[in-house]
Amino acid sequence: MSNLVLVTALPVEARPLVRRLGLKQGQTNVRFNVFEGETGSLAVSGVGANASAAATSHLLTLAGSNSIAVNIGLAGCGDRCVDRGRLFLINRIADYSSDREFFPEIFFRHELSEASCVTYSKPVFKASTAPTEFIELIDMEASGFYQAASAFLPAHRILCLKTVSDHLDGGKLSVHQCESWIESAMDSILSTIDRATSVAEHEITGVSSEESDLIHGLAKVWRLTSTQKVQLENAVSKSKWSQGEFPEKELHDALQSKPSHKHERTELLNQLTKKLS
Amino acid sequence: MKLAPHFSHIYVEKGAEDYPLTQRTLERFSKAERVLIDDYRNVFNRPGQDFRLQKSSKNLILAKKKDNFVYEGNEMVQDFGYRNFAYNTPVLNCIYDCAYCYLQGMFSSANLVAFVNTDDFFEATRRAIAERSDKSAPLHLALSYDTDLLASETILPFCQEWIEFCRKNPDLMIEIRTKSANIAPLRDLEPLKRCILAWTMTPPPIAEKYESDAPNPEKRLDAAAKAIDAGWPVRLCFDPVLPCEDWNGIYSSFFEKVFSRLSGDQVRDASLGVFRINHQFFTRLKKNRPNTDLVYQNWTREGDSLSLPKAEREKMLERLTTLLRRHLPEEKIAVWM
Repeated sequence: MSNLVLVTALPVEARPLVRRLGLKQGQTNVRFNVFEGETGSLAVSGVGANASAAATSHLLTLAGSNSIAVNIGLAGCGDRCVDRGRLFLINRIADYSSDREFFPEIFFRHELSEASCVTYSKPVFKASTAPTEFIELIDMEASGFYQAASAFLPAHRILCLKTVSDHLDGGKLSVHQCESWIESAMDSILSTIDRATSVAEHEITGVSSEESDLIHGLAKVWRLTSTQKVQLENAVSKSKWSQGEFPEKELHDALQSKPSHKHERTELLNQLTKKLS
Repeated sequence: MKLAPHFSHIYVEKGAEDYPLTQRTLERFSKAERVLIDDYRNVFNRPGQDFRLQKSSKNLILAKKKDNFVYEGNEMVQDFGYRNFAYNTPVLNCIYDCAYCYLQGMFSSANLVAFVNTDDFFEATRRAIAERSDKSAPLHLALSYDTDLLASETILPFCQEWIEFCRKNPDLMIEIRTKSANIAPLRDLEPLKRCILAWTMTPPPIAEKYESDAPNPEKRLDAAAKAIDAGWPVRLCFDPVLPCEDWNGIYSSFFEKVFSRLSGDQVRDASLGVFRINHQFFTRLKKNRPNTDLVYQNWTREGDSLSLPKAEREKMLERLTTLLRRHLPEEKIAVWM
């Protein structure tokens, strides 16, 4: 099961998630609030792409690559036909200052509307835009979040969900209203995360995680070098996919031997790879 | 959980929106999510793509090609001895998912890119015809190397356009290589001697194992027979030949089957080549496809290329050429060593 890594900019965006997932206040040795629970962790990064990137990197360093990273937050939209409170799944993230664009990969079926999101480094107030088929939201975090998350995870393990909070008109937002929008979108948010998690379970690897544990266990006991470990992994994969069966018995048998010096280690590895070929 | 259907998302590059092919494709996939993008390479070449998952849920990118409309042949592509050999890439990637395909090593994405500015391709091809080195021979242009153009014809009708373009340019000869069994899109076209339809032919046991979602060889054979009957020149490509137990028996009976259906006189020519791949492509292919035994076979590197050890390769090709000569005269057989 994948670890959930949630990143929001503001407490108001985080509170409904904290409540629903039963998260508890976690580490206090960082400048942002972290909440933790059985399903994963959540950071309230503060406003801005850099803050979001820092929090995302921090959580993913701890959580590892078997994670789903999700940025949840509020965004503006220049198109007044788009209702406030409406939730979007983001399919393109553009960074306004660098002109770069990023694409979370959406492999799952869902009922949400999709939109593009442009990240600015400061609040944007502008005249309303004409309705178009390409809905564009504006926020201050998504590009930082995505760039940080993509250093750890493939594109299909990164999600960005945004609720429209304003029409870029500079009107004051009510904290209560914002929280209630996120609150009412919770079922959709969690169901979308579930779907992304299911997709991640379709990933194809040469060996399963249990099989990988056995290989790494043997590499540790035999104190294999990095190159030797790759040789062992290749030999095991080859055996599994050429002969149709993971060589579990051979690996367990090999674990009984403990080489006392490097020549013996090399000899044992050669014997094992020969046996597996 | 079921993944999103193919082409659930269509990425449209800015500048490509108004081309007829873009409009037609968006109309056809009216329920697809449309994403307007700055540059197709930002989607296609981005890091962190899962090739295998993408193959199960492919998306389409509609873009405008800016340069390199015609490529000169190189050592890895089959030039059939033509002096003015070139290839182009109206589409990148293929709708099929063959285990040995070099495209999964060449591209970091399994999504399809279709270049919608066909007129720019035509213009560049006219220039290439005019500038070809040997004016006594036509320009031989392979259209379907980094894709299977006929297989995607119902979605992206490039073949029809290129055949009509070829008809108007007498110094152009084109090859459309395919595994498709559907030649219906070409039904209303007058056959053209300068348009070679080339079918990749694989013996059934090998196709079953490594070409799981391509039409089976029997259907390809039917399509080739229909094309011959209609008057199209047909090339048979026994390429890549894949080593397997009893390859001799498997290929021998396959050749018998093919040529019991098609007469050697009717077939324009045939090619034979053992599996070979750029070694860097192979490294990526292996990473993308760790669950196929093919990647663990006894491949040897020679220069930039990976294939069977030379002696084994020569032995196979020699034997297969002998078998093929029973059905086709030698001058119709091109062998890639």
